[in-house]
Amino acid sequence: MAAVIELDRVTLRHPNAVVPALSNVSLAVEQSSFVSIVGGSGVGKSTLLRAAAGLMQPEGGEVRINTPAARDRRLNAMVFQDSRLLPWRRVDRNVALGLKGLELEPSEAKQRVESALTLTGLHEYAKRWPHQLSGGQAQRVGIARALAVKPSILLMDEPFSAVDAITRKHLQDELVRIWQASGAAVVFVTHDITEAVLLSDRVIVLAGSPAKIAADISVKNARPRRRGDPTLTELAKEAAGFL
Amino acid sequence: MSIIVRAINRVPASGEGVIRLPRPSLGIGRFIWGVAGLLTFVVLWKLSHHYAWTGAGTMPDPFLLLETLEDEWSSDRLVPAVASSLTHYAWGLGLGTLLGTIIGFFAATSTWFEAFHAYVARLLRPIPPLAWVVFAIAWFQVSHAGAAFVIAIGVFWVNYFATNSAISGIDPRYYELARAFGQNGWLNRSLTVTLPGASSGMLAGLRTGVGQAWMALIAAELLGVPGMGQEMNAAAGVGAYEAVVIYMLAISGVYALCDFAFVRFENWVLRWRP
Repeated sequence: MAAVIELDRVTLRHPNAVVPALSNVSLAVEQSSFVSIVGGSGVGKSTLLRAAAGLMQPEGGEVRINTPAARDRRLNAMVFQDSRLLPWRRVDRNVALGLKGLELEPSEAKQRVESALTLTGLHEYAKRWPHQLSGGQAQRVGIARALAVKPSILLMDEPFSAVDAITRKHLQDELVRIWQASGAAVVFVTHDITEAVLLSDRVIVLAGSPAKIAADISVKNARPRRRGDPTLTELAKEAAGFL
Repeated sequence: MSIIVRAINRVPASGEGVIRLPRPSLGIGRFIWGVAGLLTFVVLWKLSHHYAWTGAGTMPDPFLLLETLEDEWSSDRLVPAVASSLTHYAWGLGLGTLLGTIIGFFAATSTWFEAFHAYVARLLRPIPPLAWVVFAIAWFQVSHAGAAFVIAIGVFWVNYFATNSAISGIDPRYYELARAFGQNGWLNRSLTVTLPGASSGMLAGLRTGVGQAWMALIAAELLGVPGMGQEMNAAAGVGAYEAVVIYMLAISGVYALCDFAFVRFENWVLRWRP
């Protein structure tokens, strides 16, 4: 299957840092696939995602997006660790954030917002302010905002790390459903290996300083997957061995 | 054991570390306490007048204020003075707010403009608004424009710094969010993040400016521009202190109305706040 995004020998250094955060990292993500990136704290998982999103410029190598540009959608969209909703916009206006600048009729833009809210189960919260939402709801608005721009690649930076365990399980199930419905490729950063194995087609393990890809593990289990499945547990152990 | 007891009973010297419980609501009691405070104030004022605590004839009689208000009203001095004051107040406040906000906004969002104006700002900022009265008279004579000019200078700096500081305080993660969703460019960023994100601080500056403008206004009018300040000066010159108090209360009333309207406006603009 064709890769929608390729990181080709990417080296990336934070401003004023002596050691690069990433060194010669190469990764190709196929269309409609779900790839997780795991690694220890501060290893460079989020940095890699930011490079993929075009929010950071690599010092060496390049990031290629192999999707034809379209005027009515964005190539990628990001879901942040904190839901990062603009507190001065109601939920529907937050979801519409990325639509400004796309060539969409107002009615179509409205339709996109409604669809994204319906897909994430937030339709009735459209007119709420962000402070009126729970952590899980806010995170779902972040996902809806990303889905509204119909991205080919959905970049998710530890989106469930700030929610409680029950909400997290619910959001994981929701995410798989949304991913399958949207057809976008997902690059999912998490520090939770069990979560990565449960959700993904591939688990990329980042390790070292500067970070390199230590392992690339395929998860071939059929979906829907069951939490506690022994084969998934084995794969999680295998991935953990590279950290 | 005794150490533990001492630690528990220890009262911190500063407020740090002390858990403050919310003050209990007084309900209707709040109104009664407020009226009681007001009555105490009036009684003390009356006693001060009666026993001449501040010197004979210098403390107006609070019980003569209604009569004085009637005099000022019927002599057709009060309303024109208030109208005149409001004219240059509105112009000064409007211009000072507009310019202070715009220049503060550019200073905070444009690196070259910040560098371009930085030394001029440092040079002019310490000059008090009243120091400009000389030039206000030279350039605009004793007129609405002159008073508005002095007011505008006072209000300008309040809004300039409030805007600048509010924009500097915006969480940079919102800019990253805007960039991630294609909201690039100065104008797009300003409309999506900067203006709404700074609105709370900018409005706080505007509100401070509303009060600051009254201070500058009265000072400007004491130098001869028609208005409440001039009437106060004239009344004080002939020892009519009750009339002075009437104009003071008129300022207080107009300010309270402005502030009331402003708070309503602010609450509407910032309705997204928890």
